[in-house]
Amino acid sequence: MRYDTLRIPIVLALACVATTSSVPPAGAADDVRIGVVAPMTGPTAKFGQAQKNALTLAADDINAAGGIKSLGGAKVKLIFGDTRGEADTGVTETERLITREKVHALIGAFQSGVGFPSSAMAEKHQIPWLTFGTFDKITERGFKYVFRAHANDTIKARALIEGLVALGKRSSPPIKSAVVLAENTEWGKSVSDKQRNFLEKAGVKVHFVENYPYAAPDLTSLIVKTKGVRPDLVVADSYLGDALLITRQMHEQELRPVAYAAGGGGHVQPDFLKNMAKLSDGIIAATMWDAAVGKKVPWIAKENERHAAKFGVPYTEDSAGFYQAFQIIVDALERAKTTSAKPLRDAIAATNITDVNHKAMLLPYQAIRFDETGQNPLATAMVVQIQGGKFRLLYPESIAEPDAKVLWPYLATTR
Amino acid sequence: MRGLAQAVTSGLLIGGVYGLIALGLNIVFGTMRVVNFAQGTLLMVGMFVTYWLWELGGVHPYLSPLVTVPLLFGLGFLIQHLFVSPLLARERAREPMSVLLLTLGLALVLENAALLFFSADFKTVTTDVSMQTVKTAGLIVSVPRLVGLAALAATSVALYVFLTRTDLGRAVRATGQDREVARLMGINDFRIYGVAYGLSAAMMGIAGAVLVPFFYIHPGVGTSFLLKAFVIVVLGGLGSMPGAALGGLLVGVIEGAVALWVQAAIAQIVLFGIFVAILFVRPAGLLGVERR
Repeated sequence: MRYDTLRIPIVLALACVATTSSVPPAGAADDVRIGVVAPMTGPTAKFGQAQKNALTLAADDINAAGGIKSLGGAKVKLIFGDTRGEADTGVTETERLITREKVHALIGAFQSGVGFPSSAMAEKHQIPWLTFGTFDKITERGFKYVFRAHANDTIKARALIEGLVALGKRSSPPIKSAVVLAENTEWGKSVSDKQRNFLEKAGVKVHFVENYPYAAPDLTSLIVKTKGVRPDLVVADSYLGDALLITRQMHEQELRPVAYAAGGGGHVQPDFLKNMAKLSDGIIAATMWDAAVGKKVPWIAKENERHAAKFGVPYTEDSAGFYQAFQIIVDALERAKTTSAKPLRDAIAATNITDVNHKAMLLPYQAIRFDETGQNPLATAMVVQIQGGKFRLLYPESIAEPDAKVLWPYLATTR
Repeated sequence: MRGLAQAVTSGLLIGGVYGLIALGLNIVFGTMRVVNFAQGTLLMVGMFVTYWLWELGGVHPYLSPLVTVPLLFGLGFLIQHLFVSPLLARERAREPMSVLLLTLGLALVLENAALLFFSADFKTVTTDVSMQTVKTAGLIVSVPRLVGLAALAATSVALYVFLTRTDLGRAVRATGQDREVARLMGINDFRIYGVAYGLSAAMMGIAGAVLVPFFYIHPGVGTSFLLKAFVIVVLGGLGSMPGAALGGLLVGVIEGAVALWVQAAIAQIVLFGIFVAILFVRPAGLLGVERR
């Protein structure tokens, strides 16, 4: 333990020395260099490590199979830039990867708040950037080099609400009214606003949407107020700490809505399941990936098993998203037959992957294409429910687990 | 109306914890004239020690003060002795700026060390009292928060007795009133500072113990409480012990009521608005004594 904890800073220090002093070795010009901007250290380092694992697996596969064929078997080399989860560090690391490491394409940056400014740096230098991050505006700035294959906040909010309504129709009591509780930073505000729109469109009365202060010590009043309007549905968009507090205080104040849903964030993290145990039973959440998609698509199940065998954990929506971004770049490289930025960018823009067995379809959609903003309009999200401490995939029906039943209402087993 | 009564009740309950933290902040300020930015971080340390005692030793959080209070007292005394005193000795000013910055630096060091050693994982402790409630007159009262309120009352009384009935306590007050005169009376002021800082840290051991059963544990957990504690201390009166306890309850109630009537985010604006207003209108706070 002590040895390990001491080892981390030493390794980091060595890594810093190594990265700052290394010049790309001679002859490496033939390699394809892909920069990865992700949180390798800091509070979200766990995520960055998982993303690195997934990408390393993908790159090793390509290299073992003979590299990029249209480039004469050029090997793919991943070069990592550590954001520490901070926007300013993300920007400087992106610039370093572009100007010093001369990367040909970039993937990043997990947190939308980091990816938003970092991708602008890629655009400035005209290097293709494949986004992982759901903030809508990342691809809504008229940029030419920024792409996102997966869902944005709007798509995720739509999937959640449509899923809830569909699941509610099959169950009783139905959902007629709702309250949305969202934290008051960029993500919570943006996603709650979209959820309200989709709820109203679905004919659900929204009593109120409240943006509570992030990391508040007590939220009883908010829960009491919510209880006062007796909503059928409570939607919470919270980071982990707030998710834990809200769930516990709902229980204390005996607020038990028919459905308790989450826009993602803290409610879908393993730590939430571990800490909340029984109180999480029946929570419905939106996600972009779940291991259960492998039940309908065999290769995904196999790929996930291989990943789990190697790293001890399954893919998560973010590591799968990084994997997908990498495969899209490889696909474009094969067609571009060059690593120069402009033709590579054009090849990415012309992406048209429809084969469900293509490796970029680890997040399976009808197709991967990009509209003029760089967003994949066909990207979807799915709805999962926590049942007995595990996620079950319930919606859309095309990929839902055949044997999964919806648990309705929230906490049905302990009421 | 019942909603309001519920909001005021839960405001009072969380106010107990606020009051404890403000009390700790005020002991240091009352004696050394230093705003201790490391207060929130010491709370975090108290919570982590409580957590590990529970996780590794099965010690109930409410018993952990037996360990955390002496431990944090020692830690506080050491911090004072090793870092604060040398700076304080060099500073001639009555309200030393560099010490304030030093406590901020200490807070950052401790918090990042916690991130490195304990990781950024969120932890919770579920004990027999977690999420227990008592229902009276249609109100739902959270038991662990009620314990927090009781802890504030008990700590306040103990502190009052210490400060007014013991020689050491009187020496602490004397040093707070006038450092130089206290020294002329034969009081070792630097030892008194150590005692004050230690006491203040020890209280974070108590606050940590009452928080752990119903709150989450994370290296950054102290920040949101520390900001509240600043408001409370200014509201109640800088250096005033009853002011800190009363201010804690008041802030809890204001927060609860505004969050219910308007919005939780507006409650923050109101609180910090009061903070600014008090500084302008009555800088000594509600129960503070004007100093020159």
